[in-house]
Order: sequence, then C-alpha cells, then structure tokens
Amino acid sequence: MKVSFGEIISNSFAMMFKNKWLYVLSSFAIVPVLAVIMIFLGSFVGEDGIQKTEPYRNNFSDIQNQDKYKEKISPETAINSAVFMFLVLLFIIIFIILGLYLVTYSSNALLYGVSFISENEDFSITEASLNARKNVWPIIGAHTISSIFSSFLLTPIIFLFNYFDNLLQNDNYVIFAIIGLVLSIFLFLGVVLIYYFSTNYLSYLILFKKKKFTMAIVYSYKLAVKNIFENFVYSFLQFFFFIFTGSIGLVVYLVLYGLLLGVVSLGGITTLLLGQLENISLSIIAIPTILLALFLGLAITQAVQLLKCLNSIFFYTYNYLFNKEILKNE
Amino acid sequence: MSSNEKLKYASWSRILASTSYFCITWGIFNLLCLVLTDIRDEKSLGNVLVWINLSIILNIFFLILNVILYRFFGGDIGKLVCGIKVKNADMQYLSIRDFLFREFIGKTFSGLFLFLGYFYIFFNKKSQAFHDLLTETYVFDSGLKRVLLGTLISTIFYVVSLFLFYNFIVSNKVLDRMENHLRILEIEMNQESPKNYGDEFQSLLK
Repeated sequence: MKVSFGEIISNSFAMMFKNKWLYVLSSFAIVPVLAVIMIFLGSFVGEDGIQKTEPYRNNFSDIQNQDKYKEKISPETAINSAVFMFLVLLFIIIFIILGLYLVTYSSNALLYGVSFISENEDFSITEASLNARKNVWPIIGAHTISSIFSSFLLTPIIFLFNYFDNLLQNDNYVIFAIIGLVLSIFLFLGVVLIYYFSTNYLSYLILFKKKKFTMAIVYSYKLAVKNIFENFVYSFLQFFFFIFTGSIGLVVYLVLYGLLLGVVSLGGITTLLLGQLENISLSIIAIPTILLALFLGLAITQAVQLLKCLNSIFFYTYNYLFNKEILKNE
Repeated sequence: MSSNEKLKYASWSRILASTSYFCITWGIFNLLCLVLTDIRDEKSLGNVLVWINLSIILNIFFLILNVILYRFFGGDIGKLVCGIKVKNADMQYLSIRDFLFREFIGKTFSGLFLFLGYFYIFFNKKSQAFHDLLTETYVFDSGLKRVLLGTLISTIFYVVSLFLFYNFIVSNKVLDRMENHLRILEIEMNQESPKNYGDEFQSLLK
C-alpha cells in the first residue's frame, strides 16, 4: 500500500493538541464544503423541497381566500408585509452565501495551519488566513462544478434504473431486467464513490499544488480512480473516527443536558414548595437556579463546540497527510 | 492621511467606540420611528412591520455607509466620533473586500468561544482581536480626551432621541384618550340629563 495509515492517524491525533490557534481556525470547518453545496442546491431545486413546501403554500392560499382576513389587512400592512418578505428572502440568500464562504475559508485556513505545523514552519494565523482567503472562490467553484458534473453522470443511470424497473413487470424480460438493475446499481454506486473520493483531493490540489480549479477537478478524478483501494481505507477510517467522536459527543451532551434538566426541575420544585411559606422570597431559589442553568447551558454549547473543533482538526490533518502521501510520488 | 497624527494601539477605547456606534445608530432609529410610527395605534401590526423593515433597511444603509467610511476615513461613525482609526499592515485604510471580510467573517470568529476573540485585545501587545489577526489590521486611537468626548456626545444624542420618541408617543396617547372621552361626554350630554363629570376629568388627567 502506498500510504501508511497508522502513521497518518497517530500524527493526526498528535496534531489535535499542538497549537491553540488551530481551534480558532477550525471553528467553522465543521461541515464539509460539499455538504453545504448539496444542501444549497437541494433546497432550491430538489423535488423533496418542493413537496415539503406544498402544505404551507396550500395553507397560505386558504388564508388569502378567506374574507375575514381580506377585510383586516389594510393596503399599508400588505405593502409592509411584501417588503418584509423580500428583505427576509434577501437576508436568507446573503446568509447562505456567507455560510458557504465561512465554511470554505475556515477549512482552507485550517489546512494551511496544519501544513505549517506538520512542516515545522513558524505558525502565523495571519498568514494562514490571508492564504486561505485567496482560494475560497476557486474551491467553491471546483466543488460546485464537480457536483454538477457528477449529477450529469448520475441522471442517465437513474433513467436506466427506472427503465429496468419497468421492464421487470414484463415476464419475458425478467432475467435481463434483473441483470440490468444490478448493473445500474453498481454503476450508480461507482459514480457516487468516485465523486466522493475525488472531493478529498480538490482542496489540497488547489491550495498546495497551485492547480487551477478546472485542472484540479480532472486531476482529482484521476487520483480517485487510480488509488481506489487507498480511498476506500481512508474513507472507512474517517467514518470510524466520526462514529467514535460522535459517541463521545453524545455522552458529554447527554450528561450535561441531564444535569441542566435536573437543576431546572429541582429549582422549580423547591421554588414551588417554598412558595407556600410566605416569609421566604422566591428569588432566593429562582436566581441561583437560573444562573446555574445558564452556566450549564453555556457549558453544553462550549463542550460541543470544542468536540467539533477537535473533530475537524483531526479530519483536516488526516486529509492533508493522506493527500501528501498520495501525491508524493505523482 | 497626515503623518503628524499621534496614534497608539487602541484597546479599551474600542469598547467605548462600539458603545458610541450603538448610541448613534439606535438614536437615528428612534428618530425615524418618531416620524413613521402611527401614534393612534402604536401596537398595530402595521407599526411593528414598519419598525422591523426600518431596522433592516437601516442595517443595510449603515453597512453601505460603513464601507465608505472605513475606505476613506478609517472607521465607522462610532469610531470616527471617538477618534479611532482602523488601518492595514501598509498603514492604509481598509479596502472594501478587507472591510467586508473583517466585519462578517472575522467578527464571526471573534464571537465564538464566549466572545474570547474580542477579549483577546487585552492580551495582545498590538491590541488585536481575532478579526484583526485574521485580516492583519491594526486599530489606533488619538487620546483619552477625544474618546471620552465622543462617547459623551453620542450617549447624549441617544438619550435625547429616546426621550423624544417615548415622550411623543405618551403625549399623543394621552391626547388621543382625552379626545375620545370628550367625544363620549359630548354625546352623553346631548342625550342624558346633566350629571357631575368632575371626577371623571380628574381621573383622566391622572
């Protein structure tokens, strides 16, 4: 095997505690860029999304048709509502673009930070940030084009799958249809996996190999096909680590959340009981309960945030070292 | 930019500048609400929408204004009033891209981990917050007097605007209520036999 995964994983673990600035840079590198793009595209064009909005649209038209509402809404209110809806829509679009930028920038900066530390160079958060900023749009573009390209490849396969599924109803072509179905499933899985594997290389190629984003897409697909076994092992280990950290996170979350619920309910009960006695002020119990609940609430969010940061530092270090090993001999 | 300006890294004065910015922007919001609010029914849906729309539009307006002010004068209204300026590594005012990055991306990073990024000003030799480190910017002030004066002026502006806004609404509400009561009294006087209205007037004036 080209890659020594044991060494990569131990180095990735060691990196998690090497530099405090990595925690800052990893703050928003939580969601992979790909997922954000898919959510963004899916929410606008997905059939599922359209179906989800159907009941709301029906409800809205019902309200519009009712005379009692028509009478109550003055023209000024209607205009204000329209302006409000427009501004909210504008803000949602800006928010999505900002989120996309933030996630990509954060992951770029984290990759640069990891590269500084693993190459034993002087770490500078400013330099990591400035380098990361330069490559945000090429990386967003590369991921978007790669997703669109894979969607183009997947569309005929889905049609093929549908065709064989219909053919299955015909008794004369059952065997032919089953073979076709199995083949189309394999083809579908193959395209999805190669697309997924290729996305592991995109950022590294653009950031460290200085490839243009079109070239990076082509090269990433080549690498994904060429190192198929390594990619499988890489993804499997990554998945395993996510399950592992996810379990730890869940335990931490449940313990703290349980404590929070306990404190609030205990405070509530004590307040109710002492409320029966006239000479004891309710604020004596209520204020400490609220303060403790706030503290625990903050502790939950910070603990979860810290775990997310650790997770993303591991993820991006692992990705960086894997890419480095793969591309060493290219 | 004049080279004679006495500038030093700003730390705590930045908090006062932010307060000034808050006071000025909310002061303007209050004054605009004063003009646009329908005082006859200040809790109506129309008014609430006007206030929300106004706050959104003002946010967009101040964003555009800040882009211009940062580009040509080195700070937002609050910072300029307090004599604080933001410059990049070349001692130039920020470009539009740098400003947008600092405001939206940089400050998001600073806000994380219980606003630790903002408090980092007090632990850094050059008084840089996280968003300054990420954009390689430096914040300078021009002395205590100027900062305090700026804060005082903006606070007075805010208090006056708040006073005007609430005074206007309250006074109009009282007038409106008195008008309604007088109308009812007039109708009653025309319909019924005369009765003592002195007590009602007294309670009304209270």
